[in-house]
Amino acid sequence: MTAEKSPHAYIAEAREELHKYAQGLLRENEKLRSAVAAMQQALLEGQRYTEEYLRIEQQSSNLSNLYVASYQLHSSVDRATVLRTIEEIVINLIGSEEVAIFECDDTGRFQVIAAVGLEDWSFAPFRLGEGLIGRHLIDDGIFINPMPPDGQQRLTACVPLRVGESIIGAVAVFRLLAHKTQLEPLDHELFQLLAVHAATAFYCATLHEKSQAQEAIAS
Amino acid sequence: MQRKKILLVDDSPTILMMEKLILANGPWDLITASDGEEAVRKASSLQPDLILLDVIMPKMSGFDALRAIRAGNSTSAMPVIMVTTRGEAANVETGWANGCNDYVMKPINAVELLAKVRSLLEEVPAAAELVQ
Repeated sequence: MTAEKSPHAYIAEAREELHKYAQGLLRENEKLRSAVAAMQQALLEGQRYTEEYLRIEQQSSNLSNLYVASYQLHSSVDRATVLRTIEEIVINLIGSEEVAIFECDDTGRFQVIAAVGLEDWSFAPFRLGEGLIGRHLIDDGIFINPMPPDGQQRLTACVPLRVGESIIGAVAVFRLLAHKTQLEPLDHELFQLLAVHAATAFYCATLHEKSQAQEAIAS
Repeated sequence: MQRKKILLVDDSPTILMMEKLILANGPWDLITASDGEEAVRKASSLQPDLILLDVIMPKMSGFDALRAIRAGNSTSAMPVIMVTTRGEAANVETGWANGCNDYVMKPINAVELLAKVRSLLEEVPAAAELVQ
């Protein structure tokens, strides 16, 4: 005949069981916590990779824009084609449908030679320092309006076309497209590119046209 | 497996070059057309899997080309992304009304364009396979 367990012994045994069970739960909890932490870490890592991918994709796109702009500008020595390329860069890569291109003639007067979206405007010839655009051109750099366009036809940017020390022309960009609320850093780089590459492309095309005309007269 | 074909339609060499550069690394063959008429002709003869269609073009506008593509027996179901310069609601609405599948606005954002192209070329067939 076995002696019956006392209530105290039952309680002690049950307490022991519960303790073991609780220890097991704590270990399980610890494992789950580690798994969650690892998942969160992986998630963060994934987010970082996504952000990095988007950043690289954007950077590659920006470089593509600059490459396309410079490639197109130097792909022809025909004046009309170069002018059309400058317009296309402003319309398609910068995002404005109001652009005017000016050329400086032998007397130092700037005259409009191409314009898009500004049919109702008449641009009087001006000299450096005269008028809105002429004043910006003597500031020795690209003028970029710090205020976002307010819907009026106002100057957004003015890019001098410079070859050596001479300003041979200018590109004036007016209102941006409705969905483009402000200029991006890439646009500033495109303006820089226009200032140098559009100027040389336009200069070469003009020289080519003059030499063609002289050849035609000579023959 | 045959590579998918994308027809890029724009009268601007700048935009065509830009689109080609953006899509060059994808597993797609790129075909180009420089006006609406050529686009409709190539859509019918080359059977591209996707068309990127500019709105303002000589000879035939993008909207007219889209209508012709939707009316053609062999081209009516082709996915078309309109490429618009003006993002005004009316322009986008006209695109939807004529049956375009999506649109992107110029200046083209490479990340956005790639996402839309992948979505129309890759995710749609994958979903269809799941149903089978």
